[in-house]
Parts: sequence; structure tokens; C-alpha cells
Amino acid sequence: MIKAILVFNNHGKPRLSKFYQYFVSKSQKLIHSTQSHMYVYRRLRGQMADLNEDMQQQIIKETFQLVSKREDNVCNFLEGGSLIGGSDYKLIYRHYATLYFVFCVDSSESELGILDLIQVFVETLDKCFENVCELDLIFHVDKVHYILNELVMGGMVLETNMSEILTRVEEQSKLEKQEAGITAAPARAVSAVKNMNLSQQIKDIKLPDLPQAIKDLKF
Amino acid sequence: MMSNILEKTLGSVFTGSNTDQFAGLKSLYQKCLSARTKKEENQIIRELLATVKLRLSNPSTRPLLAGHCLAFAIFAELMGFNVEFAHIHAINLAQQSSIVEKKMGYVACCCLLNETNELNLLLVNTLVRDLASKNVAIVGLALCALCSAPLPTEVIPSILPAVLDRLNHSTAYIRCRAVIAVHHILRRHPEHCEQMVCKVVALLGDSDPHVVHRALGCLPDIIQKYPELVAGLVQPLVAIQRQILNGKLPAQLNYRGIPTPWMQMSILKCLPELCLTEEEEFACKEVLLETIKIISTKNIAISEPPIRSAIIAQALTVLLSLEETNEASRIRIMNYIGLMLQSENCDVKNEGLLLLENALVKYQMTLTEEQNSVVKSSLDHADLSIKRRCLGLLTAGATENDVQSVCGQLFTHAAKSEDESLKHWLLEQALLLLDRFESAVSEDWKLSALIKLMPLAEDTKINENIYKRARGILVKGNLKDETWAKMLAVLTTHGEAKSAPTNLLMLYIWTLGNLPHLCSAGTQEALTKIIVLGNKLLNNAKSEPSARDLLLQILCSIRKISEKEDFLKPDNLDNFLKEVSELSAVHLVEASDLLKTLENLEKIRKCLQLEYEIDFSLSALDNFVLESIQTGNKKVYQPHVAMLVLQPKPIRSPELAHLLPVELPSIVMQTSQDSAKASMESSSSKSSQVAEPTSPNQAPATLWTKEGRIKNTSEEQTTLADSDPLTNALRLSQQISKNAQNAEPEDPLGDLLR
Repeated sequence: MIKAILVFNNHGKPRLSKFYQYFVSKSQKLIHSTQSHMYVYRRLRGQMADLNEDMQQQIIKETFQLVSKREDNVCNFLEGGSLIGGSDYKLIYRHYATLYFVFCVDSSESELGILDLIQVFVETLDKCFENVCELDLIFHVDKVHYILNELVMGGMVLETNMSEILTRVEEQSKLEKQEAGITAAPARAVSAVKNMNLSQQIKDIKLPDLPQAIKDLKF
Repeated sequence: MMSNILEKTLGSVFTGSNTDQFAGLKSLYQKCLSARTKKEENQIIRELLATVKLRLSNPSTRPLLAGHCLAFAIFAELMGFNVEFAHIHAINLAQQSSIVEKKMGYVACCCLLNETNELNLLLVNTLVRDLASKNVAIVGLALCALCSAPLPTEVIPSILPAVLDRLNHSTAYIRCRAVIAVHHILRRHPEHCEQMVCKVVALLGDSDPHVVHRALGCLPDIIQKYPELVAGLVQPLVAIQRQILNGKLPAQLNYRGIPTPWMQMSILKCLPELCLTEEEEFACKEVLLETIKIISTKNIAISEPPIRSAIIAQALTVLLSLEETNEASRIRIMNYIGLMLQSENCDVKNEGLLLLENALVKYQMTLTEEQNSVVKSSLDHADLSIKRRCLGLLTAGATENDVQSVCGQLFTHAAKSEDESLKHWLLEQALLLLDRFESAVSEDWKLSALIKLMPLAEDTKINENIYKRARGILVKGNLKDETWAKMLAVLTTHGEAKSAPTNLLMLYIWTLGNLPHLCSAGTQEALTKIIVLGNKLLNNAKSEPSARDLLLQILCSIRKISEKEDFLKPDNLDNFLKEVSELSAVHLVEASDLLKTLENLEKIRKCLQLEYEIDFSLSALDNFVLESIQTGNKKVYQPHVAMLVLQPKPIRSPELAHLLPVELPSIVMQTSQDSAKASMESSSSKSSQVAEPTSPNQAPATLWTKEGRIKNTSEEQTTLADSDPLTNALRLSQQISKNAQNAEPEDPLGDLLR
């Protein structure tokens, strides 16, 4: 089972994180253990959300530290960090230009198989965004999640065929456009005009050659 | 320029209220990314989040805009900001009827909600409604959200029927997702899934290969929890695998020329768990060897794509888990493993090393020269993962003859390693080796190995384990003289150094305390060394927790040394103990106790010596008793226990009076009447009882001495008549109770306290 999928850049800034398992910090375990004292529990429960956020950030940070210090000619998998399960889990990663794609898996998954799954994910993103880059993951975080949901669902591999995933994404886009209908027309018009690049198009206009008779005219 | 004008023109045509004017999601992100410092970025995100919060809380905000706001909230949450305010809006958006909005809502719920959130309950109705929808896209969204959203356990039974229903959906798209949803519930709440499992197993015969693949993914968990439901599946799975290898499945399912590689992996994973009979095992082995032959290229060492090597590695792993008596098959398996070992690709090499380790354990074989050379060269590999695999391989293949050299390698790598998890793993492997070959290595070597491990294991969980083992070896004492000397020299070096690992110092202090004879000058030298170390700790590291633990150990060791016969209390010991007592309450208790013990050391020694007999019969009171009788003192002290035994319980009910039909004799134990009364008055009192004779002329009824009770003659005559001791006791107790009622109240302790 896949426990988490993390994408971060060369500086450790996260660009995508999806956790399929609830990782509990020591503080959260302490709070859970006080549940019998309901008053204390209610007071502390409000802090649980903060602790969960903190835990996820710590996992991302620790994973980045583990992965970033590895050289390019070494294995693409290593033992998990202490926060993410230690030696029970493995981190399988791939480094593409400025981004690290890291899948945290348990022992039931094959490391080499997951390497190819990461490849499928990246190729799908590339097809959807046309030469995907880091900014695409930032500006279209919702679309990246849609694509990821077609690939992995609940920590299990759902689809490994890139064409199938692309077909689903396109079907979804068509549905969205149909639903949007007239209300989306202005937005589409604006984006279409923006993409026109009129100045370049004017430069690129190739006028046909004048007929020889007109060329020979003398004024 | 022109595009900007057009944009503004078109934008102004549909200008609505201020609420709808939004800078655009992209511009929000651009603002965040344009920050030059982390602080500036945080400030910008906080400001934008405040704006987003306002927009979301405005009821007139359109759902589409709310979706954009939630997308930014997901981004902010990824950057580590708290976006709790967005949770309810995510749930609201998921409840919308539009697919676009619903999709965004579900994505936001899955990303933002966590297991502790109470709002998760609000999502349940939405999910149940969407699961029953006729729109395939909406059902798909709901099934996906079911797996990702953190739902409480108690709502699962309400959602389960809808999920079960979707297993029979007409489209494979929904059936695939339903199978995964069932698997998700099976993993987390297996108690709810008994009815569903049969349906999932039935889907192995589905017409769509995608659905079959998803059902295969569930099989390992089903095999573990419900093995009886999956008996006899080996032959069908072998048949499916053969169809895949023969290219019977659609070509669109191929990945880089390999037919449905992930489906093959799923089948191979399940096979070993299902094989119960020899026939099944044989069929399994056949298809595995066929798989390796077809999938592998001429040169397995070439690893592209990685999934090819993954299938071969999985097939080899399964073959290794099955019993293989055929030598030729074993050789074939080892050949394939060898090819993987020779790969230049680190990932494939890593898998090859793991397979070799499994083969060593399974076949109980030794490494060939070629394999040895590969392993040795891999030990110096730059990749930590490969090094770790090699060391694991060496540990698995260690024998009695080379266990010491393997341990030595583990120690060397642990000392050199900067990776804490690798270091910890190496130390654990070393300890496992010591356990495995306990009888093959001498105690001397074990002790020296543990002492070598101690500095490396300083901050690890196994630190305590190593210390206890070393101590255990020292307690047993089966060591050579030179080992003792060497060990003490090493520990003394650490003890006298400027800094040393805590566990080594602990062992040093323990050794000096329990084995002071190891020192050349004996007990005094050991004591001096302990005090010197203690003073060093007090002067330099008083506040550190490890130093406090060491000082407690020092106190224990001093106590141990003080029990030796040749112990002479040094002058500076009292001052040292007083200084230690100031550290904490625990230290105060221990040090004070030790000080008192040292003050009374001589007396305690005499008590502990065997020539003294400790007398528990209170014979020390005999002289006093006799004296008080002779002087006519009213108060006599008697053993309390005997009186309590003879004393009757007060009988309240007249029906029970027949239990004591016999009258006690008139001669009574007058000396015991007060003690009986005292015990009736305060039943918890355990002090010696006092009995006052009613008159000085009356002879004391009973006298207690070391030898027992002395009876007077009249009493003896009476008692001789009824020789039954129980009857006597009963008579006596009745008389005592009568006297107790008549006697005056008396202080039980009386003169003893004057």
C-alpha cells in the first residue's frame, strides 16, 4: 500500500502532498491517551489539527533531508524516516530537473514497480500540462489532484495505463465544459484572446508576392 | 498590450458585484512566489488567506469562486498554514449538484480534513447520496472520496450497503473503484467486511481485465483474513498468468512491451500464499519459470523498464519461498540471481543482493567465489542502500567460523556511518549475531564486542540492552584474567578521560562497586576512583540528567563496597555524600540512607555475621517480666499473638451460645485480662498487651517465658482433667472474656513507654 505521495522542489518546498495514512505525532498520542479525562481532551482537541499539520510538515522536511543528500548514481529507494515509519516503510523517489517525486510505501509494494508508477504519473502530468513544470503544479493544484486520484485511490494503485488516465481526465474536462455552458463563455473568450498573441501573429503574417506588373510600375 | 486591452474590455462587460471581482487564482500564487524571503512569503500568504476567508464566509460568493478559494487554501495548507476555516466550505462545496464544484469540494475535503475533525460526519450523507446517483462521474467521485476522506469508524456500516451495490454496477469504471473502496474498508475495518469478501472474490471472473486487476489487489489481505474463501484459486490464477504471457489480453494494457506488468505482479504476490498441495506448488513453479523466461531479455542485467526486473525479482522471491529439492532448478534460480547481481543499475543490484540473502537462508548454502567478490566490492559502494544490503547478506550468511569477522565488519561500518538509522540497524544485526552464535563465541570476545558497541550505541534504543548484557557477563565471571585486566584498563581510560559515553561510565562505576578486587589496591582504590569520578561529575556536569543517573549508580556502588570486610571509610566520603544529596530528592534519600548506614556499619556487620543468632521470641522481655512479677508490679507484658488466638469473638446472638457450652475453669489468667480488654477496645492494635492482676495477692495465672507458658499448679490440675487442648482453649477464652468485662480500662503499653 502507498502511504504517502510527496512532491517537493530542490529547496524542499512542497508542491504536492497526499497522505493515505494518518501519521500520529507523539504529542497527538499523548492527547489521545487523555481521552478518558474528557475536560482535558476537549481542551486539547482543538490543538490536534495544528499538531497534524505540524506532523505533515515535519514528514515532508525529514523526507527532503533524506532524499536530497543522495547522489544521482545510487538506488532510488531507501528506508523511511523515523517520523514516517522507519524501516517498516520505504521511500521510493525519482528526481526530475527541479522536482523530487517521492512515494512512501509499505513492504507489500515492489520498489521497482513503484519506480515505473512514478514514471507513469510524471508522463501523465506532462501530457496534461504540455511540458509540465513546477509552476503547473502550483497554479493547477486541483487538476494535479484529479490526475493523482485517477492513478492512486486510497493508497492502492487504480490505473497504470497512461492513455486510460488521460481519457478520464479529458472526459472530466468535457463534462466540466458542458456544465459551464454560457456562464463560462466570457472566461473562455478572455483566455482565448490572451492566448492569441496578436503582436506575434501580425509579425508572422506573410503577405503574398505582388504581381510582376505592379512591381514594374513606375511613379 | 493588445491582449490586455481585450481582456479588460471583455472583463468589464460582465462586471458584477465586488464579491465577484477576484484577482484570479494565478495571480494569488504569483504574489506568493514573488516573495524574496520566507518571512515575506509567510506574510503574503497570511494576508491572502484572510481575504480568502472573507470571501468564503460571504454567503453571496458563487460556488465556482469558492472552489478557487479552496484551491488556494490547499496550497496554503501545503505550505504549513492552518486553514481550518475552509473545512466547512469544502463540505458545502461537495454538496453542490454541479460536477465541477462537487469535484473541487471532494478534493478539498480529502486534502484539508483530518481524522480528528468533527465535520467529517457531515460528509457522510453527501457520500451516501452521491453513491446512489445515476451519474457515473458523481458515483466515481464519491467512491474516490470514500477512500481518501477521513471518516469515523461508526459511519462505515451506513455507507457499506451503497458500496456493495456498486460492485454490481454496469460500468467497469465504477466496479474498479468499488473494489478499491471495499479493499480500503477491509484494511481499516475488517469486522464490517465479511459479507463483501465473497463478492470481491467473485469479481476475479469479471469480463473487464481492469476489474480483475483490482480484485487481485485485494487478494493478499483476503488470504490473510479469510483463507477459507480463497482455497483452490491457484489453478485459475496460473491460467490467467499464462493468458497474459501468451498475449491474450488487449494490447492497450501493455506497458513498454510488457503485457499488463502490474497485474502479473499482483498474481505472483498471491501465488505462494495459496499453494497448499504439491500439485499446486508444481503448477506455480512451472508458471514462475515460464514468466522469468518470457519476461527477461537476453541480458537481465539491462533493467529498462524497472518493472521488468520487478516481475523477475518477484518471481524469484516466490520460487525461493517454495520448497525446491531439484538441484537443477536451484542452479537455474541462482543463475538468474547472479545476473541481477552483475547489473550496473543500483536498483537491480539491490534486488539481486536481497534475493541472494533469501537464497542463503533458504538453501543454507555458502557463497561462491564469484558471489563473494561481488559482495565485497559492493561493501565499498557509494550507495548506502547497497552497503546495507551487503551487510545484511553477510549477517545472514555468517557461520560459526566467521561470526567474529562479520561482527568486526559491522562494527567498522557502524563507526564510520553518519546515517543514524543505518548505524542503529548495524548494531541490531551485531546483537542478533551474538545471540545466534552464543555458544560459538567465548565470553571474553563477547564482552569485548559489547564494550566496543557501547560508545556506538550511545543514543539508541538498544543502549540499555547492551549495558545489561555486558553486566550479565561480568556477573557470571567466566572470564580470563587478562580479559579482566584489559576490560578494567579500557573502562578506567574512559573514566579518567575528559568526556566519555554515559553507558561506559555506568559500567565502570558498576564494576568498581561490585568487583573492587579487580583493582590492584583492592577496595580502597576502587572507592577512591569512584569518589574522584563522582567529584568530577559534581563539578562539571551536575545539571545533566545522565550525570545524575551516574551519581545514583555511584551511591549504589559505594553501598556495595561498604559491605566488604576491608572497607575503610575515607575522610572525604561524608562531604561527597552531602554534596550529592543536594541534587534532588532521590539523591537526598539515597545519600542520607547511605550516610546512616555508614555510621552504624559496625553494628550492621555484626548483625549480618552468622555467629549471631537473632532471637524472635522476645526473650529480651523475660527479665523485665520476671522482675515485675517479683516486685509485685501490676503490669506484665505478654506476647500479643497468643492472646489474640485464645480470645473468643463476642457472641451477639443467643442462638450461637451453644457453640461454647463448656464453662471455663474458675482459675483464670488474671495477668491477661487487661490485654484482652485492650484488644476488644481497639482491634487494630498490635502492640504488646498488658494484663493487670486484680489483686497483688492473687498469683499470676500465666507467665510467659522464652520456653513458653508457665502454668501454676491449680490450673494444671484443672487442665489435666480435660486434656483436649481445644476445649481448654475454649474454656480459657470464655473466662478471659468474662474477666475482660469486669476489669478496669488500662493502657496496653503501660510502663513500656515510661
